Amino acid sequence: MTEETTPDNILLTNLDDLINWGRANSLWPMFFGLSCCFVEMMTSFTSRYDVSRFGAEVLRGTPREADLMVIAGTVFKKMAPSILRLYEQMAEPRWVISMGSCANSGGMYDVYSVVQGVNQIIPVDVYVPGCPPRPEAFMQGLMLLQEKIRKEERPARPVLHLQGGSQGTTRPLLVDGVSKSRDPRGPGMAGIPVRGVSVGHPKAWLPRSDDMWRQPAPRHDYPDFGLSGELEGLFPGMVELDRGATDMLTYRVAPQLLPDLLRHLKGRGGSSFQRLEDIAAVDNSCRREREKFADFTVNYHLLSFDTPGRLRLKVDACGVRPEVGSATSVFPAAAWYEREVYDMFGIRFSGHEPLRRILMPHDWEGHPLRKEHPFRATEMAPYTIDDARRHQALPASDFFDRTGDDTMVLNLGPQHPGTHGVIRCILKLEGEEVVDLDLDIGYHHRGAEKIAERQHWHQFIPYTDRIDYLAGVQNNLAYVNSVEQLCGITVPERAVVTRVMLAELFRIASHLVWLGTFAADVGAMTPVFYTFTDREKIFDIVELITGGRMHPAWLRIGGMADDLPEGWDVAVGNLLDWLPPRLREYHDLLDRNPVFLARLKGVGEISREDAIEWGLSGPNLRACGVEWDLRRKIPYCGYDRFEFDIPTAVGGDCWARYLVRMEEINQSLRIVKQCLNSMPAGRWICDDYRFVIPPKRDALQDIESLIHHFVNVTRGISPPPGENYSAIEAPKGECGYFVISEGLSIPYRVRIRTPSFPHMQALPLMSRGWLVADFLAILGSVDFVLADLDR
Amino acid sequence: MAGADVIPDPMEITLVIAKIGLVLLVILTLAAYLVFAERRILAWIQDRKGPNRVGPFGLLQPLADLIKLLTKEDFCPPAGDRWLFFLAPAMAAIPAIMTFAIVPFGAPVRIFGRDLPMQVADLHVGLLLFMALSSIAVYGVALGGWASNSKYALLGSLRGLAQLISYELSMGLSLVPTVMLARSFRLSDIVAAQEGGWFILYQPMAFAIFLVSILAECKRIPFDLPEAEGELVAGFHTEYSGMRFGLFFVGEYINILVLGGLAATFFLGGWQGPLLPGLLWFWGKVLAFAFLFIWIRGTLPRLRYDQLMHLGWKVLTPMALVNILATAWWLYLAGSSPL
Amino acid sequence: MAATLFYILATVMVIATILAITGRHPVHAIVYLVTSFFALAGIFYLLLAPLVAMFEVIIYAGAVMVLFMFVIMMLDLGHPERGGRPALGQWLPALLLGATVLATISYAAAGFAGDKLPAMLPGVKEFAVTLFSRYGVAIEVISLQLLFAVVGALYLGRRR
Repeated sequence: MTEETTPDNILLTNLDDLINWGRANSLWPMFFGLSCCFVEMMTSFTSRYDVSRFGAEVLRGTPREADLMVIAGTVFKKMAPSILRLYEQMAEPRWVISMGSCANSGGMYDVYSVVQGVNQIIPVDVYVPGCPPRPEAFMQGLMLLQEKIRKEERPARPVLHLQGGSQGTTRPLLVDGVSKSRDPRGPGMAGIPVRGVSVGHPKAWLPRSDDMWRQPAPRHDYPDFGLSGELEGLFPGMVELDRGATDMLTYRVAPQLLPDLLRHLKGRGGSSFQRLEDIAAVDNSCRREREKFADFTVNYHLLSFDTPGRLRLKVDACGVRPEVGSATSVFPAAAWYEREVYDMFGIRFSGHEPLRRILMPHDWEGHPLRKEHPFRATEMAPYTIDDARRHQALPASDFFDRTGDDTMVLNLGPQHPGTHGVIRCILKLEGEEVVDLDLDIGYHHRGAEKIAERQHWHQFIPYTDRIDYLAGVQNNLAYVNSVEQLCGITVPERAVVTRVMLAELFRIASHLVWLGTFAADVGAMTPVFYTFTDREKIFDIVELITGGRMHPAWLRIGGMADDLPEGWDVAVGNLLDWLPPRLREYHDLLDRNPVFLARLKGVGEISREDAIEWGLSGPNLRACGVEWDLRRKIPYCGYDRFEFDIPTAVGGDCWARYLVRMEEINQSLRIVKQCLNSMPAGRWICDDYRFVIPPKRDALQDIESLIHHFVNVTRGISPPPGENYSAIEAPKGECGYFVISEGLSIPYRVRIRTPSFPHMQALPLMSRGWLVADFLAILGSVDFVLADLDR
Repeated sequence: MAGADVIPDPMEITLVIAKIGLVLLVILTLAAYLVFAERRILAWIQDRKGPNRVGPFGLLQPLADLIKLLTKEDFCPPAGDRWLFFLAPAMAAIPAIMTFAIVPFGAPVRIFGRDLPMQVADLHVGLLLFMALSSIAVYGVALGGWASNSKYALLGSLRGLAQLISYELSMGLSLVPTVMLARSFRLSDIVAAQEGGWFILYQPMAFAIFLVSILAECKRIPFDLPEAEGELVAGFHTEYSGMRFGLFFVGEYINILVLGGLAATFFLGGWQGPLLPGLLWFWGKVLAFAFLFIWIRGTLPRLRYDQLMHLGWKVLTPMALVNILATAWWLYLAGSSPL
Repeated sequence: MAATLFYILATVMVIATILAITGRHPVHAIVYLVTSFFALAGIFYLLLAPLVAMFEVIIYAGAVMVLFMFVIMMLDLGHPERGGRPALGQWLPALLLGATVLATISYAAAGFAGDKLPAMLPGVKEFAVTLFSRYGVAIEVISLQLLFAVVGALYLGRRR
């Protein structure tokens, strides 16, 4: 407390208490969220937890009207300037709760794009630990803040414009490396050298002996596209079949030929390759057999709808300014993929101008996925409040070639209550009509692909949870499915069925979140409370089985972490009884609601052709009438033995997307029911102990299992050298993992192909000509998650 | 009353001031508790509990919110128009409060040997005064958003202007049949004319149009476009903080009470009703309207801008016109033409 | 008492109108003009013409000026207050016109006998009967004209 001109009397003290009482009981939070934690924070507003009991449910979209800023999620370097700005826009007194490990300290994301704790840029009152903290934990954080206000603040003097007193956040900012430990192990470890760097083997993850025999990667059959010899004949000497590939038909292509080849593949008769699935670049500079590889390899994955299957084209790029022909003239969807490759690797695409960064801030130095770029934030210069002030986003006018006199450019985001997270939509408006729009993404880039390059194969599983953080186990499945294919692991029956059951439960949970938030996007406030109640019921089962909620990290390579617990069947049975009547109620409430219909029918259509052209997948593609579901067409994880229909709709508008997702919930329930009725007995993890962490029970029984357990946990498993791309039907669309192994215990490269990326790329196409209100409805109907978009 | 150079009786003045004070007190308290009621009712609709920690049953919650808002920093955006920015919230709340002057909220009582109407001012152009005040209430919204110098606020203001102009018209037209039936603009006459039967029985269509129009006038879901949270952050009051935002916020609820009171006066017989005293009947009807508004908020999605315009201009206004013609024809046939 | 009120209202009105004319920012000018309309409505009320007072507010303050404001906000004129003051040549016609109007009113006021209020105050009913019977044709013609204007505006709006 500073010097006081008038003594504290009973009046001031009583006034202090009164003001504190009012403020503590009326903490209105800002509608502001960053990532996974925000979902748990919002869950605390819903029926089961109901933070409104404390008078804190009045979410304010604008910082001016809010008292409390909850930093719920990861503090990204690209987002930090906006966070600081929002904080400064709040009226005094203001308070800050840092929710979750990421906001507290960077958490598990010690990576180039993440600030290691929000307390480096804004002061924090209360920290809530957890990853993510449960809704109860957030409520306790709120109560702690109330207590802090009541006990520690003396607001009467500032309110009466007297000297002294205190209100709002007064804690000092921390400076990384000065008032805050930079040691990733936490404070107090300064005397102890970091393991594996100064005292151990410089590359601890390397195998003890390369001479040890390893089984080569098993070869998987691929469908016959009728391509044999066709490409070599058409483009002699420039296309070569890659016989080393084990997962799909692969060709090596000369860089300049690429656009022509793609055009041929797309337009050929018979099985044409209509969709560009992904472009994945690899920096080969750290390959163990460096001489066998060019500097960079760019992998193009194509998909054929006619003969369900994929094709890979490999293109080499060399030199300091590597360059490849651009595919944008053939596949419009290639634009964002090429920008990402440029952003991450610095590979240029001739014919794609101007090639802008997409995920990293425009003033970022270096290309993060190059091997020479630093991995960790702690390896880079500390991020300070000055950095947050200096780095400002590009002005909105930079996103359009021309802004006329009668148009207004509106920034929607990176923080806006309607965008479901941190994304910046730049709208060019004529009145309220959206004439054009561009997206500035990357505010949620957590560098998951870079993190994969320093983790054991198993250690990466928790990170996959946080990709599409609404779909939990589905992400695990996508990743382990790809690694299992690479290793040639056969998963035991019980694990297969359990995986399917959990995956479908998460599909339902994800669709329920979508339904609630989508209804909120068109202005209906109540459905979200109902759907979150249902979601909690699903989470009860998830918690019973896995112990986690949003991020179970439950699947393991070769199976699952443990067997199903006792009583799981009763819990699942109860859910199967609970949900159908609720779904019928939603249909009754929404299907014929005139306002709902008027807002959605015909809004934001995309044609079947455009949908394929722009790489849409999942419910968004099926809403255009394309009967395409990977669970049926390219079955994985034993889906071929389950009975279910592929729901489709016509029109490709918001309404069709609503219908498809609602029916998918029903179909998922059907699958869960089959899982419940036919759960096989037996092992839940395979016994191929080269790649699998043996169950603890076995490890305590026999020495063989114990040794494998020890080795596979400490040193990690080493899949055979090779690469594999496979995708699953995640709730939001097709999610694929492209894993490359060098035969080491860490992946050489993991590329994550997420559905939200192409969906958001197609957003301008769907939204032009509609009003601002429609734009938000369209945004909601597409169903995206920021972490799924930016990874 | 109007302009006559009579020196009023001091007792008269005292009673009028007392009435004004009473009405203000009731309206402001009710508005604050209406916010609380809305939070509890919405919670009930949404399967939650709602604020229940502050005081018994959470009843002190409005007080806590008030203290919080009053002690918060009063901020004006540096690039904004200071003068209009600070004026706008008052311009939004005052017309709503003033409108209540003409609403008869109870049967006349005998006090100190004179008949005291339960009404602050019984103007013989009362209905027109309501139209006048509601038509200028829009200035608060418009100027507030414009003075903030923010794009979202400006968009909210534009929406508010367009919406209020459109719905003013259908609201005014829907009241014409009431005046035709009561043959007076005086609100006490309109109430008296409903002694035989509430106008909602004769004029269900006018009532429906009026109801939709006042929903739009209050800027409530499905017509909350000027502040549509998911679209415009907070619309016209995006840049407001502290009690000035509080004024906009409470102004909305005062508006609900006032418009509910007017709807009761025009269509539900005002304070009239069997058995119970007039005061109870009147406030009961007002609160029923308030409950209806909250219920609608918990149930419906939001309309789109053009759909809202479409509804106002192409559905409600023509319907109201047809209704006027039908009423005139009916009155003519019934042989009670005013001409 | 009525006289005092009249002078207060008249002063407010004159000042507000002058400010509305000289104010450089259109939105400020609208606010002044609305204030002026209010004062005028008050004067009408004092003159025992409450109906006219109400219509003054409903039509001018509540509809016409709101539309003006809508257009000004929609066009988003930027910073007109930073522009130059109008030149003397632009003031001149306005001054001339103002002087003429002032002279006419003074002349009319000088001839006014004063203090002769009509024996019976015209109520809403009398007003309406006179308007729709005696001036019925004029009312119809004017409403037709407004209809033309509406149709014309619709046509112009459609073409774009």
